[in-house]
Amino acid sequence: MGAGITTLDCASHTTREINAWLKEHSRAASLGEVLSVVLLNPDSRHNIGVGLVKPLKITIEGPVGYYCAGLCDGVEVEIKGGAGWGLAENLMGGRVVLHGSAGSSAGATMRGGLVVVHGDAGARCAAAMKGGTLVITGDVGVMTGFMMQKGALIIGGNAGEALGDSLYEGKIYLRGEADSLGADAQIVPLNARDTDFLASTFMEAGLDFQPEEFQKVESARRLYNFDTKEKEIWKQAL
Amino acid sequence: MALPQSVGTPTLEKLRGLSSGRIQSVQSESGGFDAPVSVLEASNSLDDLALIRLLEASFPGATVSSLGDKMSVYKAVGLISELAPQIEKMTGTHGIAHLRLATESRIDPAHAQPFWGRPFHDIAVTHNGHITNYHRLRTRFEARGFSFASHNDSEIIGVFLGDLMENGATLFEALDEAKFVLDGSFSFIVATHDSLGVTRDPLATKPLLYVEDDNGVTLGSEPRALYHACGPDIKIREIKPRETKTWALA
Repeated sequence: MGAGITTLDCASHTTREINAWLKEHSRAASLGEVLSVVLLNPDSRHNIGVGLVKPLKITIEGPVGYYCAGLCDGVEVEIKGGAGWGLAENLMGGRVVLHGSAGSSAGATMRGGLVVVHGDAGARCAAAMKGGTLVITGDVGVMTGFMMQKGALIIGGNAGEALGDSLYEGKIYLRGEADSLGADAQIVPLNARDTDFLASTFMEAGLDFQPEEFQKVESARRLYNFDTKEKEIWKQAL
Repeated sequence: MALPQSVGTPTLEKLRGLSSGRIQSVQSESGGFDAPVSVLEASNSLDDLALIRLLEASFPGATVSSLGDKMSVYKAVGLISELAPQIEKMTGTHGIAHLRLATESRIDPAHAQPFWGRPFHDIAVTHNGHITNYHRLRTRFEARGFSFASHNDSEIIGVFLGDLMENGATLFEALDEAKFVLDGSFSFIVATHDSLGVTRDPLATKPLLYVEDDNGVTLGSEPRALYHACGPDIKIREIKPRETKTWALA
Protein backbone atom coordinates (compact mmCIF):
# COMPACT_ATOMS: atom_id res chain seq x y z
CA MET A 1 0.00 0.00 0.00
CA GLY A 2 1.14 3.55 -0.77
CA ALA A 3 2.06 6.03 1.89
CA GLY A 4 -0.90 7.74 3.53
CA ILE A 5 -3.41 5.02 2.62
CA THR A 6 -5.39 3.40 5.38
CA THR A 7 -6.85 -0.08 5.00
CA LEU A 8 -9.80 -1.82 6.62
CA ASP A 9 -10.59 -5.51 6.33
CA CYS A 10 -14.37 -5.69 6.02
CA ALA A 11 -14.37 -9.34 7.05
CA SER A 12 -13.77 -8.29 10.64
CA HIS A 13 -16.43 -5.60 10.82
CA THR A 14 -20.14 -5.09 10.51
CA THR A 15 -21.44 -2.86 7.75
CA ARG A 16 -22.32 -0.23 10.33
CA GLU A 17 -18.73 -0.24 11.61
CA ILE A 18 -17.35 0.00 8.08
CA ASN A 19 -19.49 3.01 7.27
CA ALA A 20 -18.70 4.68 10.58
CA TRP A 21 -15.00 4.18 9.84
CA LEU A 22 -15.42 5.74 6.39
CA LYS A 23 -17.32 8.68 7.81
CA GLU A 24 -14.62 9.22 10.41
CA HIS A 25 -11.97 9.33 7.72
CA SER A 26 -14.04 11.67 5.56
CA ARG A 27 -14.03 14.24 8.37
CA ALA A 28 -10.37 14.99 7.62
CA ALA A 29 -11.62 16.87 4.55
CA SER A 30 -12.91 19.57 6.88
CA LEU A 31 -9.27 20.25 7.74
CA GLY A 32 -8.31 20.46 4.08
CA GLU A 33 -7.00 16.93 3.66
CA VAL A 34 -8.69 14.29 1.48
CA LEU A 35 -7.69 10.87 2.71
CA SER A 36 -7.35 7.68 0.69
CA VAL A 37 -8.67 4.45 2.16
CA VAL A 38 -8.90 0.84 0.98
CA LEU A 39 -11.56 -1.69 1.91
CA LEU A 40 -10.56 -5.34 1.68
CA ASN A 41 -12.92 -8.34 1.45
CA PRO A 42 -16.19 -6.49 0.93
CA ASP A 43 -17.86 -9.84 0.14
CA SER A 44 -20.68 -8.21 -1.83
CA ARG A 45 -22.04 -6.57 1.29
CA HIS A 46 -24.89 -4.14 0.87
CA ASN A 47 -24.84 -0.42 1.65
CA ILE A 48 -21.07 0.02 1.68
CA GLY A 49 -20.03 3.67 1.64
CA VAL A 50 -23.45 5.27 1.75
CA GLY A 51 -24.22 8.76 2.93
CA LEU A 52 -20.69 10.21 2.80
CA VAL A 53 -20.93 13.93 2.18
CA LYS A 54 -17.32 15.00 2.66
CA PRO A 55 -14.53 14.21 0.18
CA LEU A 56 -12.84 10.84 0.58
CA LYS A 57 -11.06 8.50 -1.84
CA ILE A 58 -12.20 4.91 -1.40
CA THR A 59 -10.88 1.83 -3.18
CA ILE A 60 -12.92 -1.31 -2.65
CA GLU A 61 -11.02 -4.50 -3.44
CA GLY A 62 -13.82 -6.81 -4.51
CA PRO A 63 -17.51 -6.94 -5.39
CA VAL A 64 -20.16 -4.99 -3.52
CA GLY A 65 -23.86 -5.56 -2.99
CA TYR A 66 -26.75 -3.14 -3.19
CA TYR A 67 -26.58 0.67 -2.98
CA CYS A 68 -22.82 1.07 -2.81
CA ALA A 69 -21.85 4.78 -2.75
CA GLY A 70 -25.47 5.82 -2.61
CA LEU A 71 -26.45 9.23 -1.21
CA CYS A 72 -22.85 10.47 -1.37
CA ASP A 73 -21.41 13.86 -2.27
CA GLY A 74 -17.84 14.59 -3.23
CA VAL A 75 -16.42 11.09 -2.78
CA GLU A 76 -14.26 9.21 -5.23
CA VAL A 77 -15.03 5.50 -5.15
CA GLU A 78 -13.35 2.81 -7.19
CA ILE A 79 -14.78 -0.71 -6.98
CA LYS A 80 -12.70 -3.58 -8.28
CA GLY A 81 -15.50 -6.01 -8.89
CA GLY A 82 -19.21 -6.15 -9.66
CA ALA A 83 -22.03 -4.40 -7.88
CA GLY A 84 -25.60 -5.25 -7.04
CA TRP A 85 -28.59 -3.01 -7.46
CA GLY A 86 -28.66 0.72 -6.92
CA LEU A 87 -24.99 1.56 -7.47
CA ALA A 88 -24.47 5.25 -6.64
CA GLU A 89 -28.17 5.76 -6.17
CA ASN A 90 -28.97 9.39 -5.48
CA LEU A 91 -25.33 10.42 -5.88
CA MET A 92 -25.07 14.16 -5.28
CA GLY A 93 -21.56 14.65 -6.59
CA GLY A 94 -18.19 12.97 -6.92
CA ARG A 95 -17.05 10.02 -8.94
CA VAL A 96 -17.78 6.30 -8.81
CA VAL A 97 -15.97 3.83 -11.04
CA LEU A 98 -16.96 0.17 -11.19
CA HIS A 99 -14.66 -2.39 -12.77
CA GLY A 100 -17.37 -4.95 -13.34
CA SER A 101 -21.05 -5.18 -14.13
CA ALA A 102 -23.79 -3.50 -12.16
CA GLY A 103 -27.20 -4.77 -11.28
CA SER A 104 -30.48 -2.97 -11.83
CA SER A 105 -31.11 0.68 -11.04
CA ALA A 106 -27.48 1.83 -11.34
CA GLY A 107 -27.36 5.60 -10.92
CA ALA A 108 -31.05 5.82 -10.14
CA THR A 109 -32.13 9.33 -9.05
CA MET A 110 -28.58 10.65 -9.37
CA ARG A 111 -28.28 14.41 -8.93
CA GLY A 112 -24.66 15.00 -9.85
CA GLY A 113 -21.24 13.52 -10.32
CA LEU A 114 -19.87 10.92 -12.71
CA VAL A 115 -20.47 7.18 -12.53
CA VAL A 116 -18.61 4.86 -14.90
CA VAL A 117 -19.46 1.15 -15.14
CA HIS A 118 -16.87 -0.83 -17.06
CA GLY A 119 -19.30 -3.60 -17.83
CA ASP A 120 -23.01 -4.18 -18.29
CA ALA A 121 -25.87 -2.87 -16.19
CA GLY A 122 -29.25 -4.31 -15.44
CA ALA A 123 -32.73 -2.90 -15.84
CA ARG A 124 -33.82 0.63 -15.06
CA CYS A 125 -30.40 2.26 -14.77
CA ALA A 126 -30.54 6.05 -14.57
CA ALA A 127 -34.20 5.80 -13.61
CA ALA A 128 -35.50 9.20 -12.48
CA MET A 129 -32.05 10.69 -12.90
CA LYS A 130 -31.89 14.39 -12.01
CA GLY A 131 -28.35 15.31 -12.96
CA GLY A 132 -24.81 14.10 -13.40
CA THR A 133 -23.53 11.57 -15.91
CA LEU A 134 -23.79 7.78 -15.93
CA VAL A 135 -21.63 5.84 -18.36
CA ILE A 136 -22.21 2.14 -18.98
CA THR A 137 -19.58 0.80 -21.36
CA GLY A 138 -21.51 -2.41 -22.08
CA ASP A 139 -25.17 -3.31 -22.43
CA VAL A 140 -28.08 -2.12 -20.33
CA GLY A 141 -31.35 -3.74 -19.43
CA VAL A 142 -35.00 -2.89 -19.91
CA MET A 143 -36.57 0.48 -19.12
CA THR A 144 -33.20 2.14 -18.91
CA GLY A 145 -33.51 5.87 -18.43
CA PHE A 146 -37.08 5.57 -17.24
CA MET A 147 -38.40 9.03 -16.34
CA MET A 148 -34.98 10.70 -16.55
CA GLN A 149 -35.55 14.31 -15.60
CA LYS A 150 -32.08 15.68 -16.29
CA GLY A 151 -28.56 14.40 -16.64
CA ALA A 152 -26.88 12.23 -19.21
CA LEU A 153 -26.68 8.50 -19.75
CA ILE A 154 -24.06 7.11 -22.11
CA ILE A 155 -24.44 3.50 -23.24
CA GLY A 156 -21.49 1.86 -24.97
CA GLY A 157 -23.40 -1.27 -25.94
CA ASN A 158 -27.00 -2.24 -26.61
CA ALA A 159 -30.15 -1.47 -24.65
CA GLY A 160 -33.14 -3.59 -23.72
CA GLU A 161 -36.78 -2.76 -24.30
CA ALA A 162 -38.38 0.60 -23.59
CA LEU A 163 -35.23 2.71 -23.61
CA GLY A 164 -35.93 6.21 -22.32
CA ASP A 165 -39.54 5.54 -21.44
CA SER A 166 -41.24 8.75 -20.25
CA LEU A 167 -38.11 10.88 -20.53
CA TYR A 168 -38.23 14.48 -19.38
CA GLU A 169 -35.04 16.43 -20.16
CA GLY A 170 -32.54 13.64 -19.59
CA LYS A 171 -30.32 12.78 -22.54
CA ILE A 172 -29.37 9.26 -23.58
CA TYR A 173 -26.46 8.54 -25.89
CA LEU A 174 -26.52 5.05 -27.37
CA ARG A 175 -23.69 3.39 -29.26
CA GLY A 176 -25.42 0.11 -30.06
CA GLU A 177 -29.04 -0.80 -30.72
CA ALA A 178 -32.12 -0.63 -28.52
CA ASP A 179 -34.64 -3.47 -28.54
CA SER A 180 -37.27 -0.74 -28.51
CA LEU A 181 -37.74 2.87 -27.50
CA GLY A 182 -39.98 3.72 -24.59
CA ALA A 183 -43.08 5.89 -24.58
CA ASP A 184 -42.43 9.36 -26.06
CA ALA A 185 -38.72 8.66 -26.69
CA GLN A 186 -37.21 9.56 -30.03
CA ILE A 187 -33.86 9.45 -31.76
CA VAL A 188 -32.49 12.85 -32.78
CA PRO A 189 -29.22 13.96 -34.38
CA LEU A 190 -26.27 14.96 -32.26
CA ASN A 191 -25.49 18.65 -32.13
CA ALA A 192 -22.18 20.39 -31.42
CA ARG A 193 -22.90 20.62 -27.71
CA ASP A 194 -23.55 16.85 -27.57
CA THR A 195 -20.32 16.12 -29.40
CA ASP A 196 -18.30 18.33 -27.06
CA PHE A 197 -19.96 16.82 -24.03
CA LEU A 198 -19.29 13.26 -25.16
CA ALA A 199 -15.68 14.01 -26.09
CA SER A 200 -14.93 15.62 -22.73
CA THR A 201 -16.69 12.81 -20.82
CA PHE A 202 -14.77 10.10 -22.65
CA MET A 203 -11.54 11.90 -21.88
CA GLU A 204 -12.42 12.30 -18.23
CA ALA A 205 -13.50 8.64 -17.95
CA GLY A 206 -10.55 7.31 -19.95
CA LEU A 207 -12.73 5.70 -22.59
CA ASP A 208 -11.80 4.97 -26.17
CA PHE A 209 -15.16 5.94 -27.69
CA GLN A 210 -15.83 8.48 -30.40
CA PRO A 211 -18.83 10.84 -30.29
CA GLU A 212 -19.82 10.06 -33.88
CA GLU A 213 -20.42 6.40 -32.88
CA PHE A 214 -23.41 7.44 -30.79
CA GLN A 215 -27.01 8.32 -31.45
CA LYS A 216 -29.06 10.50 -29.12
CA VAL A 217 -32.36 9.60 -27.53
CA GLU A 218 -34.45 12.33 -26.01
CA SER A 219 -38.04 13.08 -25.15
CA ALA A 220 -40.51 14.04 -27.86
CA ARG A 221 -42.10 16.17 -25.14
CA ARG A 222 -45.64 15.14 -25.90
CA LEU A 223 -46.35 13.44 -22.57
CA TYR A 224 -45.39 16.16 -20.11
CA ASN A 225 -46.29 19.08 -22.36
CA PHE A 226 -49.77 18.39 -23.56
CA ASP A 227 -53.03 19.98 -24.46
CA THR A 228 -56.16 18.38 -23.06
CA LYS A 229 -57.53 18.57 -26.57
CA GLU A 230 -54.85 16.09 -27.64
CA LYS A 231 -56.04 13.16 -25.55
CA GLU A 232 -55.28 10.73 -28.34
CA ILE A 233 -51.56 11.24 -27.83
CA TRP A 234 -51.90 10.16 -24.21
CA LYS A 235 -54.06 7.20 -25.13
CA GLN A 236 -51.42 6.00 -27.56
CA ALA A 237 -48.60 6.43 -25.09
CA LEU A 238 -50.43 4.57 -22.36
CA MET B 1 -45.87 -33.60 6.28
CA ALA B 2 -45.53 -30.54 8.53
CA LEU B 3 -47.08 -31.19 11.94
CA PRO B 4 -47.90 -28.82 14.73
CA GLN B 5 -46.17 -29.86 17.91
CA SER B 6 -49.41 -30.96 19.52
CA VAL B 7 -49.95 -33.71 16.93
CA GLY B 8 -48.12 -36.99 17.24
CA THR B 9 -45.66 -38.12 14.63
CA PRO B 10 -47.19 -40.65 12.23
CA THR B 11 -45.23 -43.89 12.08
CA LEU B 12 -44.13 -45.50 8.85
CA GLU B 13 -46.48 -48.39 9.60
CA LYS B 14 -49.44 -46.05 9.90
CA LEU B 15 -48.51 -44.25 6.70
CA ARG B 16 -48.03 -47.54 4.84
CA GLY B 17 -51.37 -48.73 6.03
CA LEU B 18 -53.17 -45.56 5.02
CA SER B 19 -51.54 -45.47 1.60
CA SER B 20 -52.03 -49.17 0.83
CA GLY B 21 -48.30 -49.68 0.82
CA ARG B 22 -47.41 -46.80 -1.50
CA ILE B 23 -45.46 -44.91 1.13
CA GLN B 24 -42.22 -46.82 1.38
CA SER B 25 -40.09 -44.51 3.46
CA VAL B 26 -40.27 -41.52 5.69
CA GLN B 27 -37.55 -38.92 5.98
CA SER B 28 -37.44 -37.28 9.36
CA GLU B 29 -36.77 -33.60 9.71
CA SER B 30 -35.23 -31.74 12.57
CA GLY B 31 -34.70 -28.07 13.22
CA GLY B 32 -37.00 -27.78 16.17
CA PHE B 33 -39.95 -29.21 14.35
CA ASP B 34 -40.93 -32.86 14.10
CA ALA B 35 -42.00 -33.13 10.49
CA PRO B 36 -41.49 -36.35 8.58
CA VAL B 37 -41.51 -36.09 4.82
CA SER B 38 -42.80 -39.03 2.91
CA VAL B 39 -41.03 -40.35 -0.18
CA LEU B 40 -43.63 -42.09 -2.23
CA GLU B 41 -42.96 -44.92 -4.64
CA ALA B 42 -45.52 -44.74 -7.44
CA SER B 43 -46.74 -48.30 -7.57
CA ASN B 44 -50.44 -48.31 -8.27
CA SER B 45 -53.20 -46.17 -9.62
CA LEU B 46 -54.38 -44.74 -6.31
CA ASP B 47 -55.37 -41.13 -6.87
CA ASP B 48 -52.81 -38.81 -5.31
CA LEU B 49 -55.39 -36.16 -4.48
CA ALA B 50 -57.38 -38.75 -2.57
CA LEU B 51 -54.23 -39.98 -0.80
CA ILE B 52 -53.40 -36.45 0.28
CA ARG B 53 -56.92 -35.96 1.60
CA LEU B 54 -56.72 -39.24 3.46
CA LEU B 55 -53.37 -38.47 5.06
CA GLU B 56 -54.34 -34.97 6.08
CA ALA B 57 -57.69 -36.15 7.45
CA SER B 58 -55.94 -38.87 9.42
CA PHE B 59 -53.52 -36.44 11.06
CA PRO B 60 -55.42 -33.21 11.75
CA GLY B 61 -53.26 -30.15 11.34
CA ALA B 62 -50.75 -31.98 9.14
CA THR B 63 -50.03 -31.14 5.51
CA VAL B 64 -48.26 -33.32 2.97
CA SER B 65 -45.21 -31.36 1.85
CA SER B 66 -44.19 -33.54 -1.07
CA LEU B 67 -44.93 -36.67 -3.05
CA GLY B 68 -42.70 -38.14 -5.69
CA ASP B 69 -40.01 -40.59 -6.66
CA LYS B 70 -36.99 -38.32 -6.70
CA MET B 71 -37.76 -35.21 -4.67
CA SER B 72 -37.91 -34.42 -0.99
CA VAL B 73 -38.81 -31.11 0.56
CA TYR B 74 -37.47 -29.90 3.88
CA LYS B 75 -39.08 -26.89 5.51
CA ALA B 76 -38.67 -25.38 8.93
CA VAL B 77 -39.04 -22.18 10.90
CA GLY B 78 -35.85 -20.89 12.47
CA LEU B 79 -32.39 -19.59 11.71
CA ILE B 80 -30.43 -20.43 8.58
CA SER B 81 -27.56 -21.61 10.75
CA GLU B 82 -29.80 -24.38 12.01
CA LEU B 83 -30.22 -25.72 8.47
CA ALA B 84 -26.58 -26.66 8.01
CA PRO B 85 -26.71 -30.08 9.75
CA GLN B 86 -29.80 -31.04 7.73
CA ILE B 87 -28.41 -29.87 4.42
CA GLU B 88 -25.22 -31.84 4.92
CA LYS B 89 -27.30 -35.03 4.95
CA MET B 90 -28.93 -34.25 1.61
CA THR B 91 -27.65 -35.70 -1.66
CA GLY B 92 -28.83 -35.20 -5.20
CA THR B 93 -28.19 -33.72 -8.58
CA HIS B 94 -29.91 -30.38 -8.06
CA GLY B 95 -31.98 -28.44 -5.58
CA ILE B 96 -33.68 -25.18 -4.75
CA ALA B 97 -33.93 -23.26 -1.50
CA HIS B 98 -35.69 -20.23 -0.13
CA LEU B 99 -35.55 -17.92 2.87
CA ARG B 100 -38.94 -16.41 3.41
CA LEU B 101 -39.64 -12.78 4.29
CA ALA B 102 -43.28 -13.20 5.20
CA THR B 103 -45.47 -10.44 3.80
CA GLU B 104 -48.71 -12.31 4.21
CA SER B 105 -50.18 -15.58 5.56
CA ARG B 106 -48.96 -17.57 8.51
CA ILE B 107 -45.38 -18.24 9.54
CA ASP B 108 -45.05 -22.00 9.75
CA PRO B 109 -43.48 -24.74 7.63
CA ALA B 110 -46.65 -25.28 5.63
CA HIS B 111 -46.43 -21.67 4.42
CA ALA B 112 -42.69 -21.80 3.80
CA GLN B 113 -41.05 -22.51 0.49
CA PRO B 114 -40.22 -24.40 -1.65
CA PHE B 115 -43.82 -25.27 -2.43
CA TRP B 116 -44.55 -28.64 -3.85
CA GLY B 117 -46.91 -28.47 -6.88
CA ARG B 118 -49.41 -30.79 -5.28
CA PRO B 119 -50.41 -33.38 -6.25
CA PHE B 120 -47.97 -33.66 -9.18
CA HIS B 121 -44.90 -35.74 -8.51
CA ASP B 122 -41.46 -34.23 -8.24
CA ILE B 123 -42.11 -30.57 -8.85
CA ALA B 124 -41.39 -27.71 -6.47
CA VAL B 125 -41.09 -23.94 -6.78
CA THR B 126 -39.40 -21.07 -4.98
CA HIS B 127 -40.90 -17.67 -5.68
CA ASN B 128 -40.08 -14.04 -5.01
CA GLY B 129 -42.99 -11.68 -5.61
CA HIS B 130 -46.75 -11.66 -5.31
CA ILE B 131 -49.22 -13.51 -7.54
CA THR B 132 -52.17 -11.13 -7.61
CA ASN B 133 -54.61 -13.46 -9.38
CA TYR B 134 -53.86 -16.27 -6.91
CA HIS B 135 -57.39 -16.48 -5.50
CA ARG B 136 -58.98 -16.70 -8.92
CA LEU B 137 -56.60 -19.44 -10.01
CA ARG B 138 -56.98 -21.30 -6.73
CA THR B 139 -60.76 -21.28 -7.02
CA ARG B 140 -60.51 -22.89 -10.44
CA PHE B 141 -58.23 -25.64 -9.18
CA GLU B 142 -60.35 -26.26 -6.09
CA ALA B 143 -63.38 -26.68 -8.33
CA ARG B 144 -61.47 -29.54 -9.97
CA GLY B 145 -60.79 -31.20 -6.63
CA PHE B 146 -57.35 -29.83 -5.87
CA SER B 147 -56.37 -29.01 -2.30
CA PHE B 148 -53.71 -26.64 -1.03
CA ALA B 149 -51.35 -26.84 1.91
CA SER B 150 -51.39 -23.11 2.62
CA HIS B 151 -52.97 -19.76 1.88
CA ASN B 152 -49.74 -18.50 0.36
CA ASP B 153 -49.97 -17.23 -3.22
CA SER B 154 -46.64 -18.79 -4.17
CA GLU B 155 -48.11 -22.26 -3.85
CA ILE B 156 -50.25 -21.81 -6.98
CA ILE B 157 -47.24 -21.67 -9.29
CA GLY B 158 -46.13 -25.29 -8.99
CA VAL B 159 -49.73 -26.51 -9.21
CA PHE B 160 -50.25 -24.50 -12.40
CA LEU B 161 -47.02 -25.76 -13.97
CA GLY B 162 -47.59 -29.36 -12.88
CA ASP B 163 -51.08 -29.34 -14.36
CA LEU B 164 -49.78 -28.17 -17.74
CA MET B 165 -46.98 -30.73 -17.75
CA GLU B 166 -49.36 -33.51 -16.74
CA ASN B 167 -51.29 -32.61 -19.88
CA GLY B 168 -48.28 -32.87 -22.18
CA ALA B 169 -46.46 -29.55 -21.95
CA THR B 170 -42.71 -29.51 -21.55
CA LEU B 171 -41.28 -27.56 -18.65
CA PHE B 172 -40.28 -24.76 -21.02
CA GLU B 173 -43.79 -24.61 -22.53
CA ALA B 174 -45.37 -24.59 -19.09
CA LEU B 175 -43.15 -21.71 -17.97
CA ASP B 176 -43.89 -19.80 -21.14
CA GLU B 177 -47.61 -20.18 -20.50
CA ALA B 178 -47.23 -19.25 -16.84
CA LYS B 179 -45.64 -15.90 -17.47
CA PHE B 180 -48.73 -14.81 -19.39
CA VAL B 181 -51.35 -16.36 -17.12
CA LEU B 182 -49.87 -15.39 -13.77
CA ASP B 183 -50.48 -11.80 -12.78
CA GLY B 184 -48.34 -9.79 -10.40
CA SER B 185 -44.65 -9.78 -9.67
CA PHE B 186 -42.70 -13.00 -9.93
CA SER B 187 -39.24 -14.32 -10.27
CA PHE B 188 -39.34 -18.02 -9.61
CA ILE B 189 -37.34 -21.20 -9.95
CA VAL B 190 -39.00 -24.56 -10.56
CA ALA B 191 -37.32 -27.89 -9.96
CA THR B 192 -38.48 -31.20 -11.41
CA HIS B 193 -36.85 -34.60 -11.16
CA ASP B 194 -34.44 -33.76 -13.97
CA SER B 195 -34.63 -30.03 -14.64
CA LEU B 196 -34.54 -26.51 -13.36
CA GLY B 197 -36.52 -23.69 -14.96
CA VAL B 198 -37.00 -19.97 -14.42
CA THR B 199 -39.06 -17.07 -15.64
CA ARG B 200 -39.74 -13.46 -14.60
CA ASP B 201 -42.65 -11.10 -15.01
CA PRO B 202 -42.45 -8.22 -17.55
CA LEU B 203 -41.38 -5.55 -15.06
CA ALA B 204 -38.89 -7.87 -13.33
CA THR B 205 -38.65 -6.02 -10.05
CA LYS B 206 -37.69 -9.14 -8.12
CA PRO B 207 -34.05 -10.18 -8.63
CA LEU B 208 -32.93 -13.43 -10.23
CA LEU B 209 -29.29 -13.90 -11.17
CA TYR B 210 -27.40 -16.89 -12.47
CA VAL B 211 -23.98 -18.25 -13.31
CA GLU B 212 -23.36 -20.90 -15.94
CA ASP B 213 -20.01 -22.62 -15.83
CA ASP B 214 -18.45 -26.06 -16.21
CA ASN B 215 -20.13 -27.17 -13.00
CA GLY B 216 -23.63 -26.39 -14.24
CA VAL B 217 -25.95 -23.53 -13.36
CA THR B 218 -26.26 -21.69 -10.07
CA LEU B 219 -29.11 -19.27 -9.42
CA GLY B 220 -29.70 -16.76 -6.67
CA SER B 221 -31.26 -13.47 -5.67
CA GLU B 222 -28.01 -11.72 -4.80
CA PRO B 223 -24.50 -11.66 -6.26
CA ARG B 224 -23.09 -12.49 -2.84
CA ALA B 225 -24.72 -15.90 -2.82
CA LEU B 226 -23.29 -16.67 -6.24
CA TYR B 227 -19.79 -15.54 -5.31
CA HIS B 228 -19.91 -17.76 -2.25
CA ALA B 229 -21.15 -20.72 -4.27
CA CYS B 230 -19.04 -20.32 -7.40
CA GLY B 231 -15.98 -18.30 -6.41
CA PRO B 232 -14.86 -14.76 -7.20
CA ASP B 233 -14.11 -15.04 -10.92
CA ILE B 234 -17.57 -15.56 -12.35
CA LYS B 235 -19.80 -13.90 -14.89
CA ILE B 236 -23.09 -13.10 -13.23
CA ARG B 237 -26.05 -12.70 -15.55
CA GLU B 238 -29.59 -11.61 -14.85
CA ILE B 239 -32.67 -13.43 -16.11
CA LYS B 240 -34.36 -10.88 -18.32
CA PRO B 241 -38.00 -9.80 -17.99
CA ARG B 242 -40.29 -12.40 -19.58
CA GLU B 243 -37.30 -14.60 -20.29
CA THR B 244 -37.78 -18.34 -19.84
CA LYS B 245 -34.80 -20.64 -19.35
CA THR B 246 -34.57 -24.31 -18.51
CA TRP B 247 -31.66 -26.58 -17.74
CA ALA B 248 -31.85 -30.38 -17.85
CA LEU B 249 -29.59 -33.06 -16.47
CA ALA B 250 -27.26 -34.44 -19.08
